[in-house]
Amino acid sequence: MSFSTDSYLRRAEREDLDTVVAWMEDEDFQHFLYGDPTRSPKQIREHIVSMLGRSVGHTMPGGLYLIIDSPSQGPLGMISLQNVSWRNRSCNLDFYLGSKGMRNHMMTAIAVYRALEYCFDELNLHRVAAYIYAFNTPSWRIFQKAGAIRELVMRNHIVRNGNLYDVYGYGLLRREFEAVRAQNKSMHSVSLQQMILKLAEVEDDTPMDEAATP
Amino acid sequence: MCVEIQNDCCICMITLNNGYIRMAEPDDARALCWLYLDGKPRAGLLDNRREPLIPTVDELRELLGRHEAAMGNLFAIEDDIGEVMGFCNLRGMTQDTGFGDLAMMFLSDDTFQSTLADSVMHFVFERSFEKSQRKRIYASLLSCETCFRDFLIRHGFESNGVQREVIYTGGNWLNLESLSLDTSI
Repeated sequence: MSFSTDSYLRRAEREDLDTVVAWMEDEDFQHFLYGDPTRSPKQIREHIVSMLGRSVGHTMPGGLYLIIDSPSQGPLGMISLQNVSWRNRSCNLDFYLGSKGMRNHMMTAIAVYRALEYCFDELNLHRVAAYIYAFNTPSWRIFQKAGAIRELVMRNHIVRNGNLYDVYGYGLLRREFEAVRAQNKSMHSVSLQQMILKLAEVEDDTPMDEAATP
Repeated sequence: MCVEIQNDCCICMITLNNGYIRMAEPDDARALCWLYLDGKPRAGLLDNRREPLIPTVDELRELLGRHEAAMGNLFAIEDDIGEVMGFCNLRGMTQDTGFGDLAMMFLSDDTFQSTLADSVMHFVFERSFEKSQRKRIYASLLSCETCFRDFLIRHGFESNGVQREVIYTGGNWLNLESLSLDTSI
């Protein structure tokens, strides 16, 4: 199978610029990425490029860009934590799998799980939010499986290919993520693999290549 | 009925029922600052990270004096004797869909039940839907902003949902609700 559990997160560096820019040139990046509702995709792209390798590791930045890397397969995708509030202990999460071959549900689940673990276990956040297009079903399904609640429905909010689509706002609180994690642990195993497999279960026949990200 | 007095580039003052609305200016800094300091959290005063700010009067004065602020959409609302009662902010949100974002704050919550507040909302509708051709107005409010919520519902806004435990202030978690009104309503 085209997935790997040897993936890990690291901060994006200047050397990642070419890889990230290549991902951004993919039309899926424009199509699926939502991010901050007050910024256009072009603004988001310019911001990401300007931020690469600039945030200092030990301070408390307002935004973090992390690369999902794998020793065997190289950089797989990017996770962006935006509007990080250290006062409210919250952030907005975006993730993008650059490698199309990796956009199966398993890889998406790994990316989401690793990002959420990082937010709650390392950054000690209280809440993670994500804005996801309604047509990006695999992404919001995986978010729901991680315990997130659909809190907002903004009807006909975004234009893609001349059509209006709904946008969902999801919120996941720390206690909800911990409850899902505890539930998975009590079932069979404490292994990461088991939890990821549970997260990656899908209930529909949505094509795999739609499993790009919010 | 609104009476609009304009110069070449911006609105100077509009007469409303029982008051006036005009572009905010540096002399409004003290009244604006009080909104930050009166102990009532307001969604309209939060930054991008949904964090409350504690600006000084000087900082606000400088902000209100900037060219982009003077040409922007922050309005001061006055009663009929010229005392500042509150502020109204109208911003463009996304260009492709033509949405706007509204914040309205009064020094006293009782003002939301007045004819002055109603006429401010009519001004907002006229400016957003007719002049700016916006199709939808969004407004965000905290769970403690009940008077503002009642006011919006009374004017036809509908809830898009509630984001839970978004802001920590006063020792409590507060929810953030999004409401919207479409031009077709």
